[in-house]
Amino acid sequence: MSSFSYLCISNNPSLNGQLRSLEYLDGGAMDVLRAGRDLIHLGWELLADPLYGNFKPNQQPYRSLLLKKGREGSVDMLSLDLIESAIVVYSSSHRLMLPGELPESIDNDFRYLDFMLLEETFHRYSVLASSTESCTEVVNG
Amino acid sequence: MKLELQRSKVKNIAWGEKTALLPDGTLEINKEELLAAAADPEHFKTLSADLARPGESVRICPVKDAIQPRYKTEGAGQEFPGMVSGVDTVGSGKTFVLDGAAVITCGRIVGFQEGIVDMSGEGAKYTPFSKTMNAVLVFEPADGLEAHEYEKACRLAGFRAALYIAEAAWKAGAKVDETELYDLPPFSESMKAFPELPKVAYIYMLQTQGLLHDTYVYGVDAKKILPTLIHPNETMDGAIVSGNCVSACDKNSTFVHQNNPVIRSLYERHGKDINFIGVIITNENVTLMDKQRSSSYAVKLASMLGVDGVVISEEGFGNPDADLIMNCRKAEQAGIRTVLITDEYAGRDGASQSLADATKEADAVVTAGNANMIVVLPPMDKLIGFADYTDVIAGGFDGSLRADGSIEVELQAITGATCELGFNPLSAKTW
Repeated sequence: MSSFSYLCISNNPSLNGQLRSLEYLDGGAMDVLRAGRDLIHLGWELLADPLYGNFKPNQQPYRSLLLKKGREGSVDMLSLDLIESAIVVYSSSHRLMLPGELPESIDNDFRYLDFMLLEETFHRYSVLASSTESCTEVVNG
Repeated sequence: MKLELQRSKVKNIAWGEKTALLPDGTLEINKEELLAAAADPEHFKTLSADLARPGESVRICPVKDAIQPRYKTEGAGQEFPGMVSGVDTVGSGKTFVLDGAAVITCGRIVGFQEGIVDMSGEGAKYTPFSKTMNAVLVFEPADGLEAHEYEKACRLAGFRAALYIAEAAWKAGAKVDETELYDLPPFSESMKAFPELPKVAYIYMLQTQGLLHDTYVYGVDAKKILPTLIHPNETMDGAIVSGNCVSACDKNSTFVHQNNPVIRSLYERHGKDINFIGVIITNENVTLMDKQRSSSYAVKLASMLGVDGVVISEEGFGNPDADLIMNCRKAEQAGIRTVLITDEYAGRDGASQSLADATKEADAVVTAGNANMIVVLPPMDKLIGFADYTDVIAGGFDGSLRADGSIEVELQAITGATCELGFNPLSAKTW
């Protein structure tokens, strides 16, 4: 587990090497949400809404969660509510889109959007790797 | 602040030598001048224009924005301030409206973008833009253009085109068919008016999650603002514009911001059963700290106004559900009653939970429809836009292509189908 106070868990390969503390998950968005829920029960707190982006679970295959280490032994109820709600939304979807299922150009766009929509949050908490100037440059560069 | 809307009815649309509204209600447009107004060769590899009329066998896809042509004929500022005009405060004086016409922008910013407008058939029932006479701009980006830059270029081109059409038609002597006056007094007066009626404000939530999910107020990216007050008349002059291209059914296009039905209804009932005090705009950011700050701040503004109730409208779904519920809970806890307007993602059978968040205080909620509902769109004779995109929708991404060429999609793919400002044809009946 990271010794840094912030941790991003994500199944978006575009984030690899771009964040100071990333746990990359080779799986679907639901795997990311469940891993996030486990961390919240261990005292971590969400910093962004897990349902960011106007996409349905059968559209966007990528999910990234940014969490902050909270007080030991306490569970942040807002984070728990949000992650449980997100899991309900994903569970009730008639299907889930998985990484690699879409044509490559569309899959790339979804990776890009996943990064872009969290850009403000990453900047806010200074979690971008020092060599990463901006998400735009990383994805397009 | 007083604003008079000078409405001229548009009954047909055609290319012609001079841009003008003809006596029979035909909006004639000089195509070359329209293309010149929208032109941006630095950002567009191609730019073309087409027309689409109600009842035609035409599909427009992927629709980015819809804009109503308006032009300020008197008073400070000009339409779309901070975008293609200066930043003087708008909302007073007189504004010419080409009622029944729209500029539709069509460009593929990303590969999965939705936004279908069918001008006839089953799909036409669900989009308000099947009833307008449409001038459609179709863009392709210059090679290597970054998505943010391309989105901005498409957005601005649409505003320039809409402003060009309205200004040219006005200057060509368009006849005004009817006028409407919108007049809401300063707080010092409105607080004393109608003491027997409940004071009501409107909390107007703007989509602000990031690229393809943005809204601008006088040119300012609304994700960077603290909630603030705006005069309802300013919205009628394009002070709020859309940079939102995702989730076609419940994005508020610029046309919808210009014609916000919540604001119109509050005006209509002002002095009858409510005292309409004003409008608070707020955002729907991704970062939780922003959500907490903005919901507290918006409700604080409502409390400072001393209102008894607020109408709260959402834009989008999922992440904004959390903002909607925070706004509701905090307002109710501050003693301000709430009515929420949202749409639903209740599954194809309508049986699943509708919103991602809930609270017991949300006991008065208006729905604009279930975005997961399935509709079958028949093949159209003509496509304006990009054929490969409809193949993506139809090819299993979010629907299915049938042997006869019809496509089965969720309502979400149809522009404006479940608009959370109520600018949509869906309604409910009780028996």
